[in-house]
Amino acid sequence: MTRRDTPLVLVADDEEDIRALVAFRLKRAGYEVITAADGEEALLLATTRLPDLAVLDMMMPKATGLEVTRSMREQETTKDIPVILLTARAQEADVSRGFEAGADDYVKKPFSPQDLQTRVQALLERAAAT
Amino acid sequence: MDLRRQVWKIVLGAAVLAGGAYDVWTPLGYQGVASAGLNALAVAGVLVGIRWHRPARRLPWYLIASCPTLWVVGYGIQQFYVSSGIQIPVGYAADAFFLAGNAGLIAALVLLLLSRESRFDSSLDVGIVVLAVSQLAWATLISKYALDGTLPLLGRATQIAYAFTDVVMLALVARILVAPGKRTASFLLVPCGVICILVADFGFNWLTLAGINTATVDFAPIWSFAVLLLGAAAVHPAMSRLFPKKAVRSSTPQWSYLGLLFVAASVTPLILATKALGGAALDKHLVLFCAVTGGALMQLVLVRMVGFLRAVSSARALASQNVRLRELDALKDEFIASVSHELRTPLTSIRGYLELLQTEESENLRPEQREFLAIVDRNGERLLGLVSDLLFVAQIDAGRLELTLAETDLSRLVEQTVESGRPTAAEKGIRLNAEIEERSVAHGDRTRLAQLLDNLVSNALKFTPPGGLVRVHLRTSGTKAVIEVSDTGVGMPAEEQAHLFDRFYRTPSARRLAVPGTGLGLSIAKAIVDAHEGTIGVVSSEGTGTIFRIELPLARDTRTNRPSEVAA
Repeated sequence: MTRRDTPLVLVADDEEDIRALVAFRLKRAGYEVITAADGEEALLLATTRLPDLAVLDMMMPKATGLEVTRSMREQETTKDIPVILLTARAQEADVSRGFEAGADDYVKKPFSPQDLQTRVQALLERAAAT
Repeated sequence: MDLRRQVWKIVLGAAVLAGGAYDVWTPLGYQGVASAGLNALAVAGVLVGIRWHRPARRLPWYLIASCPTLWVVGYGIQQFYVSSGIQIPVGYAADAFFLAGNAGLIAALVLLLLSRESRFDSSLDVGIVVLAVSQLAWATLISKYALDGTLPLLGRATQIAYAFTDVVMLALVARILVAPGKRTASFLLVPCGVICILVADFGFNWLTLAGINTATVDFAPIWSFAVLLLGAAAVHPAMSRLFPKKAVRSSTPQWSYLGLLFVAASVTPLILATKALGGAALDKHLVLFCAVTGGALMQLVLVRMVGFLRAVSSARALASQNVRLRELDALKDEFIASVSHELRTPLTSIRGYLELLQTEESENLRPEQREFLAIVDRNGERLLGLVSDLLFVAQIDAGRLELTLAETDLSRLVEQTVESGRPTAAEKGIRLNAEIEERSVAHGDRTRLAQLLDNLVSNALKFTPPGGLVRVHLRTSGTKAVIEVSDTGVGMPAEEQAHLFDRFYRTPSARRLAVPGTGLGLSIAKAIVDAHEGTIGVVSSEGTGTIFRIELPLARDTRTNRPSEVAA
């Protein structure tokens, strides 16, 4: 994985408001942010831009967060990129499916932007250490 | 023990050997002794089987054992006649024991059938098969005995009684073989044994009627082989479940059973046709007997056919109803999931942007604006709480309250709940205390139990006026942890307490005091306690306060120590 001075974070959510909210908070925290409005776009950005971390909504048109995570795990260039899933479905089953697909963390909606930022930071630090 | 699982094969092998080589090993003139010995072996098999496998019901097995036991006596008498050189009369004391043995076996077969089918239907079925088989028996055996003027009355009665018990046994076996339930080795060996007895009985009768001397054709090995099959059934491990305490019922109609009905219905015309085609003049007794029993047979078949077709259509209706219910259930799940998603997504934006305003833009806000945002925030949180509660209730309704069970330290849980309730308590000027008598650990879902205590404590804080006291008390009592949440609040009369755990119920005082809430909190609390197999109750009186008492089963290896008190 490429190491950048400013970590690049991919944020994918079909809700523009939430996308903007996460992007704003992460940019304020000093990250570079790219956004995607659906699963296909997210996967395209993940494979072309190779971000340092991806925040993916579970329910997105064209491809769900789970599917994007699985595809990323299958490709050599993207398989090590940490993934945080955003889920609005509170069922335990969704969470365990997320981890099975290869996600590193999950955040339940509604979430605190501060909390999400802390998790992003923690995962990036862990990835940098390995 | 492994031997106990295999010994039925040994008994079965012994039965085959003893029966097959009967004429080789049995000394001439001592067939009665040999038969008595093999019957005694069968009795021993049943008794050993009962002792080893401890069946749910013993009576049917004792009835099965009664058959070879009585036959041992019968063979003894027979041996006495043979040894003394006395001509064996038709209808003598041994016959009484042989017949009584048949009766014991019939009783056991009735119990076997009743343990598999409903009493009414199986009685009708046995009636149908008895009528059909008795027509056959009458046409082939009984009429000849009954009309044989050369036999003494006792002899005739004995022969008819044999034929009758055979007919009933055949009827029961035929019905049992199409009954529902697992076909275990024991289940198959019992009817096989009875069928062997019947084969020997009918063979013996036919030869006798054909005028062949039965002394030259020995049926004793077949009868002995038959009772040894019963013995093998009893020493097989599956014997313990052959007569279950609770009857096995089939919800779907058995098509093999329909075949039995068709065969039974065809017996009368077949007998009459065979007799007529055989060229013999139809004797009037036979025609009369077939007419009467055939009429009754047809009526019983009709009644059962109606019941059968009804069962088929209701099974079909039930199956399609099940499919529909499953579809509806899936639809409801889908609905809950999508509502959950749709409600949470806008809340994410509302609360997320609020947080940004309150943190990032805080210095640009006037105090009044900050206060307004705090109100928006509080209400957003309330809305979220409501959405979560509704989803939780929907999950309970769907029977999907999933618990993640682990050893949960209730003492810590109480401390944490009190800790998190402290800001609200302080705001209202209420003292909030955790009183922990002893450390206790429950086997439970930590998150759900925390939700339960939070619900109760926030409830208590809502209904307690400033200056009051809310206590969370934890102790153990026997194998239970007892948690009491008590307050010095407004309390409530008994008639309100009865509805307290009802969904959406709000007490009149809650409405009067405009205490915010949806009426879901306590119904959720009760659902959580129920899921943990605990109990929740309330003691309250108006003006003095309310105590909620929860009892939860303790984890088994709970160690109790460290009495402590954490006060505010």
